[in-house]
Amino acid sequence: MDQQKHELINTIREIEFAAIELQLYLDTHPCDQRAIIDYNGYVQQLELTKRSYEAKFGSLLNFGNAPSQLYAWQWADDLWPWDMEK
Amino acid sequence: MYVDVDSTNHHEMCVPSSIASCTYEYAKAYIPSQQYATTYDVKQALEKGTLFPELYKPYHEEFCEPRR
Repeated sequence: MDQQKHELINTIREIEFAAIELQLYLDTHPCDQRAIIDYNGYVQQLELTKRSYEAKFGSLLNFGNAPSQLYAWQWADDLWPWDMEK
Repeated sequence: MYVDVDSTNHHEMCVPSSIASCTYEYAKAYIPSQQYATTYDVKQALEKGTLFPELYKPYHEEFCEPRR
């Protein structure tokens, strides 16, 4: 996998994990404002990172989550799960 | 269910005030309320499997070897 693509997808995984951890924490601590601020920060960061991935490498998800480049439909171009290195 | 714990009191970090102030009952499980303190950076968190340093409990294989 292309180095930049690999790094970006790993960054998405990392931020997504942090957001899930804070979501679980907030389930039992719904009034913790510091945690809410951090959670919102990760959500925003995740959104931006996903957008930047999709602009360069195509959709992360199908069904209307991201537009395709005009020259061709990209969804099926990506690696299949068994093609992933990691 | 949501217990506010005074984070300046180190004893109460382990025992929520609502539990500390009453007598423990038998055959009941108590879970101290987690305090929001420092977190790992996102890269470390994914590697360690938790965002929270206080919840990082790595598994050490040597503790679980069968007795001979």
